[in-house]
Amino acid sequence: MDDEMRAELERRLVLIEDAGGAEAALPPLPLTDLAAAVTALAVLTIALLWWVL
Amino acid sequence: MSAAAEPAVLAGEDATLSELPLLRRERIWGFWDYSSVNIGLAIATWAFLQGGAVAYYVGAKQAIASIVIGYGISVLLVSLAPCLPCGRYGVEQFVSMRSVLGERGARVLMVVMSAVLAAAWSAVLAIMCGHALANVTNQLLDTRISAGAGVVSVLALLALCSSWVIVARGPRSIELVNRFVAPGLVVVTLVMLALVFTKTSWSELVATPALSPWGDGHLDFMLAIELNIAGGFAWWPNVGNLARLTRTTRSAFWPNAIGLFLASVVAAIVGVFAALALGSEDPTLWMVPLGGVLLGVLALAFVGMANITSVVAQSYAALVAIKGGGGASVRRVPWGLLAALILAPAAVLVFFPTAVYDNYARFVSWGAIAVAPLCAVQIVDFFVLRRQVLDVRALHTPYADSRYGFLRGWNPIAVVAIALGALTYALLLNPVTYEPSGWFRYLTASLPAFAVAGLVHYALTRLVLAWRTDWGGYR
Repeated sequence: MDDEMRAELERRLVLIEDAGGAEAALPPLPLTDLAAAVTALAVLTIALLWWVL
Repeated sequence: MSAAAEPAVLAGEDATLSELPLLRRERIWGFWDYSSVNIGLAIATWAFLQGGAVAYYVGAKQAIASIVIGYGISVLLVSLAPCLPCGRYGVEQFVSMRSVLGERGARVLMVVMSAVLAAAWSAVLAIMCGHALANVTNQLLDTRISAGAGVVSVLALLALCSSWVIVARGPRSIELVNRFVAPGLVVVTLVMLALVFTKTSWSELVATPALSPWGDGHLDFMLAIELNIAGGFAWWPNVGNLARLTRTTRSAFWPNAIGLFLASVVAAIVGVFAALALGSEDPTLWMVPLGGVLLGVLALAFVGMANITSVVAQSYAALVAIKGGGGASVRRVPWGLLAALILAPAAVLVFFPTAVYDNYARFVSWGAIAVAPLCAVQIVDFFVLRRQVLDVRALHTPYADSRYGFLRGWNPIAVVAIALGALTYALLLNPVTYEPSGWFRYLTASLPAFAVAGLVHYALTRLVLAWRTDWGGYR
């Protein structure tokens, strides 16, 4: 990694590590979203198995 | 705002093409942007191949169930990892894997995944293009070119050369797919669906037997589910770097349900219907019987071209990964030469068209042997052991100084977990003969491989952390 690239990386890391800043990491996916996806898949799976078996 | 927050990237440099972590303002895709890209990737010609392969084992109703269940499971898992770590932190997919495998481990994974999968998929798609063009020639010039003829290999080689010309010129390929080829493939898919039902009714379709089942209905259904789980896992190498470009974690997660899941499911189901109605698993043999000579030849020519753009998209993704994470020596290799090197193995494989094209199920299975355990280890590592928190600085620090250094840049625990997961897969479903063992009929192969790898990674990491708390930056 050349010096220019290293400096750019450092600049970005400073921005991302600023927890309250506009460039901080995004918040985690809400647990309700994951629960909704898993529930929908489970219901769909059961319905399809009932249909074909 | 500090001076450090001024320009987004180096002059003339696009951060999305490098391994630099992306800032929020550089994330270009919202929910519908990522959904449309996802749909464009999902409705590619391999969805037809997948449908044709499923029709080998099961009839229409079981095919629909197996496609929805199989894709549903693996697309959900792939949406969790790599999509969420990359989406949350804006880090390049194989850079994010440094927290799992170590810097050296992630680099080897990146080169192997990019090179092997790009070669294999490119070969399959190029041969399919060769088949399509050979069938066009057969229709227009009344020739008799067979599927294994040398002409097919030459046409496939020409498809690869065309792909190289496009890739070597720069990164416009994915945009081309989304603007032109993807909508065209949606039209081809819907027209095919309509034409299938002009040839046959739903009740006839449901009564049509599978093309070449084992004869054990339950086992055939499980093989079809396994094939579709493996088909969903095949997205793993590509989706992380796409989710990295999204503006919210919801946008990194849910569009996969629309594109990778829903669009793939629809296209694969149409493929199953066409295969059953026409008695052939080869999509290039469906078009003329369904649409007549004129419409069929046009559709075949379009599918042939769509395959070239798919090869371009696949090669481009591999090139970006290798160029970005391959180290200083790789970065010095000219783009065009690197593109040629990526496509070179596929150029050899196209001279064995029957062996490559007729073993699609085995090929997808080989991908799942590696990806199912890999996905498990990443999910356990990110969600359970690290509670969704990554140290972005440590990801970009050389292993000797990084908290993710592990053992000289390797995490032996993750490697052992992946190896045991792969072994579990191979014991349940022979990857060479595609012959299932006794337990396969209850478990599939990908899901136990996933479970074993995840459990081993969790248990061994906890064990090591009990006597070495600084291991891998988990605490």
